[in-house]
Amino acid sequence: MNNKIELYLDKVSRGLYLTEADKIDVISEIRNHLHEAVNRQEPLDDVLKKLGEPNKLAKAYNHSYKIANDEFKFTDILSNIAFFSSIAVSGMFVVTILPIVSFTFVLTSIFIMGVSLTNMFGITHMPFNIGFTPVTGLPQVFMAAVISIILLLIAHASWSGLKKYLKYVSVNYYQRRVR
Amino acid sequence: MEKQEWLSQVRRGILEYSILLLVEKKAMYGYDLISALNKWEVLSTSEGTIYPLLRRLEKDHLIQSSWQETNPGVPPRKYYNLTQEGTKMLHTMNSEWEKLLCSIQQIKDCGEL
Repeated sequence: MNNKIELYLDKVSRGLYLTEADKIDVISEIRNHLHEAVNRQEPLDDVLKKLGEPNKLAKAYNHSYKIANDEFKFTDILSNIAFFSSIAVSGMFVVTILPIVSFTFVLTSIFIMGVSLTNMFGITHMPFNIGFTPVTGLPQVFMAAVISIILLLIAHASWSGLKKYLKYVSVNYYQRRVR
Repeated sequence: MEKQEWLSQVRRGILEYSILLLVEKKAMYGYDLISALNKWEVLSTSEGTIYPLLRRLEKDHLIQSSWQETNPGVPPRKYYNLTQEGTKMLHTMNSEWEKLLCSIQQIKDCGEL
């Protein structure tokens, strides 16, 4: 029975164009409704039928706010122009540069670590300078580790920055659509 | 025009009014509200309509909600009650509703206008 409920809720959730928080709110409320009904001995199939097709219910939620504020004011157009042009300009850099930075920095840190290790065991003989002083052996591995960690931190920051940016854009986009 | 079609048109506006009237008395959750409305045949509406409507009323700041745990194993309930703005709106609706009923009555009484 619970499976059927969750399956239904999942379908509704996928049709909702709302922010993540609003989605959770909506789904939790319908989940409560279904349990309240079943606890009062209503057959689950009837209850689901009364709620309607999951995608129709989702649509009703998506539209519920639009209908109330149907008029689209001139300031809305201006704010949309501002929003989308700022996303277009910032996206051009953020979406291209951040993934490249995080990807290449990870590769570079692996490369530096690898070279310092192979140098130490005498397999390779790549020069490794800090300023003008060449470093070899264990200090070289240590230095390489420090630099790798810094590179990995930058890569991680770029990656989570990218994720945050994408989330910000989608959330604002969806809010725009329902508002 | 079919009876059902006409009723659903009339109900559309009245439903919001009915919900505000109900939650004015006490905080109610969705299932509770739907059962209350179902007591009157003319007001009974599908669940698929009520829930999105509640969301809209909340977004319009006419009602506010709070989640409350009930029995263990049962998902929490979302209780609604009127906001200050909602109370104000309800007063306006009450007086407009009186005017509306009055006008209809006058039309009926007059026969010819």
